[in-house]
Amino acid sequence: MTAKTRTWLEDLPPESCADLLEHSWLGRLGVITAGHPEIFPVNHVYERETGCVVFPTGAGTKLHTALSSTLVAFEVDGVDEDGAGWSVMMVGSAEEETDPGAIARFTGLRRSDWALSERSHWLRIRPGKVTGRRIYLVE
Amino acid sequence: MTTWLEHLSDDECRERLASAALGRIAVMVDGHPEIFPVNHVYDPTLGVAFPTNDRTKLHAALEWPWISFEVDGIEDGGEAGWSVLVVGHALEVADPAVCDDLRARRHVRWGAASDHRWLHIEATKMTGRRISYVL
Repeated sequence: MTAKTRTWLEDLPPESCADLLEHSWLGRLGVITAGHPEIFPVNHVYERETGCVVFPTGAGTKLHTALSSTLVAFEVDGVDEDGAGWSVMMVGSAEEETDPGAIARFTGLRRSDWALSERSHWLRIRPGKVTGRRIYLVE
Repeated sequence: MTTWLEHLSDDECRERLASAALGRIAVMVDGHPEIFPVNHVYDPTLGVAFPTNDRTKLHAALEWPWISFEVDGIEDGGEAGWSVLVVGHALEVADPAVCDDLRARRHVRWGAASDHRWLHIEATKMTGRRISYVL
């Protein structure tokens, strides 16, 4: 890169954040475990009507830590074809989704199966704050 | 269908940290976790290093004693996913020559112009997993 390279940072409107959450299928859950933050990749589904993110998980650290936390973080990111980078982060509360009808619907909507087997719990992240950014590289 | 979970060796973790272009840090902000993407460099001596100028990220990383860094990806045509997580302490890279060297070694360069300060993670834990399914 040259010294003349500049970047352009744009805050994304709520509609764009919702689109990006809906169209990505690999996200990351951030929780605090024993005083330190940890990140777990998850295959999520975005429920547009409620703004919630839902994903399956086993009965381990992720589930217990998320449910006992006041607030957790969820993030998706990516790089567009034009080279711009983007990310959307949600900070919210976690609760367990137990409605069989909802779980069946979410299972059908998921776009990847590699993390699904043997995972009997579903977490729902209810959004508090949602922020999105896109960074363009301008030569 | 069965899910196959494999733990990655330290060498495999380091290889994936070095080859991934984009990672994320998780830091504590006002008592809750937040996640930010970063353009990192993996250095054998410093470990994971990344630039930042964002005040939230910088202060959160330095003030709370713990920080996490994660890279992940999909492979085998979407049939497998992997992730590597590093947990440790964030320290600022003080030497400007080292910062220049790190800056030149990044895979992705957006966020470049405004990021003047570099942090690196003194790792206390590194774990890697690969999940795939077999029919």
